[in-house]
Amino acid sequence: MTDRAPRARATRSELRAWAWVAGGLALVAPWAAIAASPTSTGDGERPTVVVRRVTRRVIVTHPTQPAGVRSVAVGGGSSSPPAAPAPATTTGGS
Amino acid sequence: MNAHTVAFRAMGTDVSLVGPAGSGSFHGAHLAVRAMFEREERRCSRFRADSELSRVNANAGTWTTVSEGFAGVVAFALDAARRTDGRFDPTVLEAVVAAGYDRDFDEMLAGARARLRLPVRCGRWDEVELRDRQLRLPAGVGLDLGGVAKGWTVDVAAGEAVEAGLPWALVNAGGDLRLCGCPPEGGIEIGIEDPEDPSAELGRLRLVRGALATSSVTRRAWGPDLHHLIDPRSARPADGRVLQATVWAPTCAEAEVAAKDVLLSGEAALDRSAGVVVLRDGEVHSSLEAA
Repeated sequence: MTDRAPRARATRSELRAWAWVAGGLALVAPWAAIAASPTSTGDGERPTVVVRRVTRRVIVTHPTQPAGVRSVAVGGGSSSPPAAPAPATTTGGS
Repeated sequence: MNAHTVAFRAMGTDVSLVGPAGSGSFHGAHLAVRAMFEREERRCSRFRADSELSRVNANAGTWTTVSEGFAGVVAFALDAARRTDGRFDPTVLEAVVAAGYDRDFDEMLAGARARLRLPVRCGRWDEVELRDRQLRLPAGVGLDLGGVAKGWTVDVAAGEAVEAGLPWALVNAGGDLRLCGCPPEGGIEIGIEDPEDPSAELGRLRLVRGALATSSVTRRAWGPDLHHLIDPRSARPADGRVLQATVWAPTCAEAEVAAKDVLLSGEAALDRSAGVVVLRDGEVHSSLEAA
């Protein structure tokens, strides 16, 4: 059986030094994270977003045959909230 | 109007059953509609190696015995090709595959890359022979029953839902829909989606009876000018003036054919069909009466 040397206790000044180091790191860490985060590329130019407004011109021709469907005039469009309750279902191609 | 809706996915699209809220028959009707879609998908899907359609396409050049239901869909499709002078063509399979639509669309949505090939000639529908339940395709020709089989299934499923006890039922498969039974007075409101912004409503219709189908070049698309609607005259995806055509007909299978015909023919075709057409330049043509 071997005797192990007793572990040396940190001195008060050593503990104080470690406390200063930990405090300093905690203070710097947020700034380091911000500095390391990705920045926008290019020469500081912002990307251009083009918004295209779709204009519709409705042309109604005289019905040539009786049909089991009629058109309903309601509000709508992509830029305004619907003016009527939602329809039962929709059709839009498949 | 108090309506209840259930939705599920079949035939590579969203399917919904709409019926009166509070009906005790709704669950049974839902099961019947699902069963119809499962049956017809097993029969008519070109993406299932074990489907009747895949067996017929694999046997092109020889006679194949088909089921009565399958023969019915093929007979309807061949008759539609005759009535539209081939603008509706059930033999566009090789052309649509050459355009890149060679797998289930859910796989393409998941990011599968399209393989493009040179266009393959269409218009060989008049060489297809159907005698009762015996079917023979010309060698090198494949059938694509996609849209018309979906419309046919919608018709059958809506009828089944009413048979199951619903006073009225509307079945919608990716915008192809059929109303059966006795709907509430004034009909059922249907929104037409804007082809350039599906979240916006282009207009609204009130369906009293029959069916609606919409064909659009902005849906089921996988690249610029690459979509599933083949123009048989060029054997390429259609690139005419029309973005979207919504057409009414007594049955969904007929509406599906008429919508494709109008999309390929242009707004002038509204003199023989009741519907709404959206053009690339922003014009919207309607031949419907106002409610």
